[in-house]
Amino acid sequence: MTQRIALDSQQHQHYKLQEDKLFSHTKLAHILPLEVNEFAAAAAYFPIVFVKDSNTGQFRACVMTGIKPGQNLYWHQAGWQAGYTPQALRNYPLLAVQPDTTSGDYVIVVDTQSSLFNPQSGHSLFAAGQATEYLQQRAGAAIAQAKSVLLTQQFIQLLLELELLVARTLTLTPQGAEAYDLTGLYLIDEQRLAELTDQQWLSLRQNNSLLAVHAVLMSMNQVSALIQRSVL
Amino acid sequence: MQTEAIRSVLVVGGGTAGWLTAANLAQSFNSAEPGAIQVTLIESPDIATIGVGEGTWPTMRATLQKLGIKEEDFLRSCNATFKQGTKFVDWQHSDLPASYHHLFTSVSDPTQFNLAPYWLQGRAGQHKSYASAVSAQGVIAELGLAPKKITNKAYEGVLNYAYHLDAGKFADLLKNHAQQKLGVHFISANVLDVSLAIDGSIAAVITDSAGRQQADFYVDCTGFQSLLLGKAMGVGFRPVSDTLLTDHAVTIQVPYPTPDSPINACTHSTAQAAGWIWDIGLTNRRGVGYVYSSNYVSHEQAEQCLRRYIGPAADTLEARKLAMQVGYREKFWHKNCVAIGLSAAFVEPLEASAIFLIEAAANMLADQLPALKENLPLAESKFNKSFLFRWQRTIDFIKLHYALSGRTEPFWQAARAKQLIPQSLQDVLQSWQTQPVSPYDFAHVYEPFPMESYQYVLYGMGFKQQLADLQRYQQGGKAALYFQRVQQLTHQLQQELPAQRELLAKIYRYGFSAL
Repeated sequence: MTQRIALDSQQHQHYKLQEDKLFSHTKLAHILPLEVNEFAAAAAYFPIVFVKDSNTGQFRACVMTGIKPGQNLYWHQAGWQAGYTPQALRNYPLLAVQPDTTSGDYVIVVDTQSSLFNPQSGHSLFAAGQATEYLQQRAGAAIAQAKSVLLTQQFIQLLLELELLVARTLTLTPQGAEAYDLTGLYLIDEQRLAELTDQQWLSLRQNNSLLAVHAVLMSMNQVSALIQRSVL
Repeated sequence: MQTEAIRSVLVVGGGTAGWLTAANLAQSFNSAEPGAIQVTLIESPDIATIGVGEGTWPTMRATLQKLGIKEEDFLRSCNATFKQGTKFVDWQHSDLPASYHHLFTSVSDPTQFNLAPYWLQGRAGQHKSYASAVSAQGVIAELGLAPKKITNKAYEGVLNYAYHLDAGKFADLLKNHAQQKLGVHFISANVLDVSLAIDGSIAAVITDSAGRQQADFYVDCTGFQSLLLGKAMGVGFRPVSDTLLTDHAVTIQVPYPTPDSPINACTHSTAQAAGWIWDIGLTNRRGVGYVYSSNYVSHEQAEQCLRRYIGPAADTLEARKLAMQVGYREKFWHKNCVAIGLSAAFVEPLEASAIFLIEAAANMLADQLPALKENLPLAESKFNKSFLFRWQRTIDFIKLHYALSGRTEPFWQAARAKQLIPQSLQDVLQSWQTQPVSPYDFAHVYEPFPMESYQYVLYGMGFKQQLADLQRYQQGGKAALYFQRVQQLTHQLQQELPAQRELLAKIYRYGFSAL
């Protein structure tokens, strides 16, 4: 369970941030958030799918890292097992949020449940009441992620308007075990894509979304790679 | 003249009945397109609508979807909440507290596999109520949980559900939607007179500010007045006050003590000395009303009874009294006019039949309105037959609640007197004493209340059924699996489903996905 509070130069003046190249917080996650500007880079390593956020019902884009809940096949004690690491992992435990969307200002919040955030060891966050250069750089990355979240939402909105998303159930049969269904996944429907009118197709191009659409379709090849990985 | 086409429909009267019918017709006829059949609605700017009901049946989801209204828009603009059935309190006895649920979801459709005989034999556990043996929904409703999650699609439920709504706001929503999206023409005017043609059909409606309005077909949604079908055409009214004894209602709107007060997830219906009190939770207030028989309680006593039920919160609130004309027209459709809503029929709102039968009538009219005037008599006879059946069965079903009560007050004794129980109901009740309720008891496609509704009420009211030939029920193993499934679901859904208010807040913020 995550518990987020805003970073505060007074309250957290003695806190530090450690880095975890293993991304241990994702050890039990079979899906991880991904933003649209990462699709092309991620498509060579993971299936990109869409799921509904259980808290808001809104769609979001994710990479699949396991074929059942509680399983991350890319996590390994020797290091992350893919050539790409989604930015949300790199930014953890920081997140940028806009409490007031009209002003546009971002607030940096931290998951206080994370042991990476502690008063003992790591990079200092504040010095003499000011954010350190390290924190400024980490905050900048978190804000960049927050901005790409908006782009992802727009992209998903376009997919919904064009009715390109379809619910799919993946039926998986692990070796020597009973088949089971992985539900709640939504994919881009290739058939529907082929049936778009010229005008609809143009709207994808004008929104700079063609690359993202194709990245999602190509990432489907990674489903078999993921299943392979699960039996190793 | 008799081969003329029907190209225009005039709905006289707004409210839930008028706007729901106009919207449904315009949607079905594609009236927003040029050349389609025109739908016009005349509404008086001066007459307040009664707001017939604040509870619907699950059919409303399909109706709203058909009209192209987004579920989140409907919920938001009508202060609507999710209704998962009705809880009947104290209907069995005057002095021994008891309650039961009439729910919308059962683990097995009883027309396919009837669990009741196995429940009667104690296969679900010795002291398990019928409702909690066959459905998880009673427990969920008691906890005030919603029937769905934010990840469900619009109009899709984990459990089956209907709505509680503000009828005035609902009519406003339909009024906007019907005009802006569906192509309904709106005229704000008072009807002064209705003029008849030589053959007794409606020739025109005379208004104060919009002159003479003519159409090929008329829908009378003028409420209890029944201006067209009743007053102008002289179609008689058949009261059923000898079967259903209540004739008045007194209502109070009760604001919640705090903005985050929990919302009931089902209608509450609590028996009183001379009738019963409904209690419906919207987002901003409860709607509470005492439906009573003025032969057994004075208006003052009835209001006092309602105030006692509400408690001290009622002290500063105003009560409104309504007289109810209980019964139905001898015909609902006559020549070129059909009555829908209160102008057609009314029975006490015990099973939320009012809006439900408006939907049903609008659907049938949209489907059956003939292309040519010469085919009107055929449609008329089909419609009248169908709705006479539906109203009679609705009356039977409501009467069933009274017929099975053991309450001792004079009103209740009179309400279950055998000579006042329709023969059709007496017949099935007699067979159900030794036989299970059967799909063959509900052979009509347009049966208003399904077999499972009868079972919830029968067994909830403690109806004594002594099945003969127990060896006929050989599927105990299968039944046990269903009963087990209900217990699993009851446990699982309690963890998963959000509270009504929590879900509504999320819906206001995020909406439901169409996918």
